[in-house]
Amino acid sequence: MQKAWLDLEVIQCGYCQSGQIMSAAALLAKNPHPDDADIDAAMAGNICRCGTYVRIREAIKSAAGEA
Amino acid sequence: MSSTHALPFRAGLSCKAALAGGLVLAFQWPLRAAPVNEPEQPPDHPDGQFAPNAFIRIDNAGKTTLVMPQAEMGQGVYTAIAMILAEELDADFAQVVIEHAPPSDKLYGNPLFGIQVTGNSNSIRAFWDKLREAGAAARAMLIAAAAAQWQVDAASCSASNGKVTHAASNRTLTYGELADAAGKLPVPDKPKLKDPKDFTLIGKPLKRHDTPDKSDGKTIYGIDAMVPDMKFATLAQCPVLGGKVKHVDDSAAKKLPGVRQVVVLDDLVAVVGDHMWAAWQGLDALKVTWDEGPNAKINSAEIWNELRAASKKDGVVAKSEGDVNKGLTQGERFDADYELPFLAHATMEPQNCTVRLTPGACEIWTGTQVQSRAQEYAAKAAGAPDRESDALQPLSRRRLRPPARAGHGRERGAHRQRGCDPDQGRVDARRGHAARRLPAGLSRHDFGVPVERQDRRLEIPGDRLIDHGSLAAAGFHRRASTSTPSIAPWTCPTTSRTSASSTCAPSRRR
Repeated sequence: MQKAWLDLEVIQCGYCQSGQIMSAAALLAKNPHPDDADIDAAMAGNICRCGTYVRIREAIKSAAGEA
Repeated sequence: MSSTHALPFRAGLSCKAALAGGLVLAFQWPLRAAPVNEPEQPPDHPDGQFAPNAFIRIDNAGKTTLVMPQAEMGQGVYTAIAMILAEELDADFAQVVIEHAPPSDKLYGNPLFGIQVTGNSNSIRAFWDKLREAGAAARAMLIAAAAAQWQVDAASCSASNGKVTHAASNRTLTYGELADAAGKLPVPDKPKLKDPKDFTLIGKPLKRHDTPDKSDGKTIYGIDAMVPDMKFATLAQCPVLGGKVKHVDDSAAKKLPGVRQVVVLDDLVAVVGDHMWAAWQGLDALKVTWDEGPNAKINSAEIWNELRAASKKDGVVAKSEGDVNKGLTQGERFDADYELPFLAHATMEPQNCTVRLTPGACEIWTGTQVQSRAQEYAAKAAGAPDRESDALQPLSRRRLRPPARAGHGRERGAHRQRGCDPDQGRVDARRGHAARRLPAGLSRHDFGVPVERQDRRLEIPGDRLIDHGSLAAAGFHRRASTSTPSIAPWTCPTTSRTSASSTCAPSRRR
């Protein structure tokens, strides 16, 4: 997951990203192939002031082997 | 008390309008003619390294340290500045190490501001020439050192990836091998810069330098600072600028476990506790009444009305090109008004500042965009002598520690934050041997509240957007140069841009 985050340059200020990565890892542990709705629902508890949500979605799919 | 309030740091920037007819950017920064006095303080451990200027350090092993004058807040400035330096230096970009600069207006002042400020989205255009020259000077010295060692003409040598090569004799020396000799050479005044067509780094999408540590939790933010025996403070400020504390009942707060002190200043109340929770609980237990002062009746509708009225008067001309009046009478005319609401910056990291005051030294950890100003205010708060005095040296030597930031432009006001304000001296800084952190920002309860009070929230009219394609079709051109110290990124052959201010909203500035 961390590698996907770096490959896609998800991070900007970074302050929220540890939590984002942990939520994303927890999501994939439960659901190895989440769709956009699954991702949005699972990640709804983590807010990002830089607005990196689009790349977070891509990175989760990348880590899931789907992108 | 029922709620706490966001600190309206940006209120001073909020009440400006630009007249129709020009692209709007009504931001002003109070330029300071003379930099504050800054004890010279080079980065840590330049001794024994090739250090031709404030930005570049190369040790004998070839480790190349690039010193960052601007604050990284996620905007990628560490990477961009490193690219500019490494480009002209011909360093091996993969081996570059990045360090943040200590506070020094003299060495690291933003050329467009005169002091060490990160803001106005100007890091690259402000530092572009300076950084290129720094890199090019270092490269010229390394090449000269190699040429001298080989006894060949410097012009017959070339540099790339941290090495100097003499192609004719197939000899190569690394920057590390050349560091000692290069350090003994004079620094060229006007080093030759690269032709942009020869750039190997600038213009390439490279990986960011700051993100690996942010992906695994290694990055230290200001709020991560922890020092022995520290106390924690939080505060409530009068919700209206210009207002004052009328009365504080702290009887309930003082009975709470862990609450150490309630400090009442002119326009704010702070609670100091053994830990953050105690401070928060103490603040919640305070009963504060405010005298909201002369601005108590100001509301959004009134501010907007004043701004709209001001925008119809003649403003200060910021730029004028071509015959605008003639242009406006010919062809099809489009009018659009843009009104932007007051917004909270809503940084993820609460504004915070950790201070340790020991005899002869004041150490500060804070994410700030105005490092040297924070240092200046801290010196006042700590009761340090005038900055001209040698007695301040311990403060500067102990350096303002710059952690990572999640500031989003907000921490440019941090020097006005109480954590670095002279008034703060009464809260904690003079207590000696004390280390305290003072976080503030959006209230835990009122997340998302604009700078104004919630009941005065602005109604935003429907927004109309201009897309860049339409601008281009209308004769606007995207600026190509990044070094032009101009605000607008667009040029148009016929332009008039003026600005007007309303006086109705109080300024945060003092």
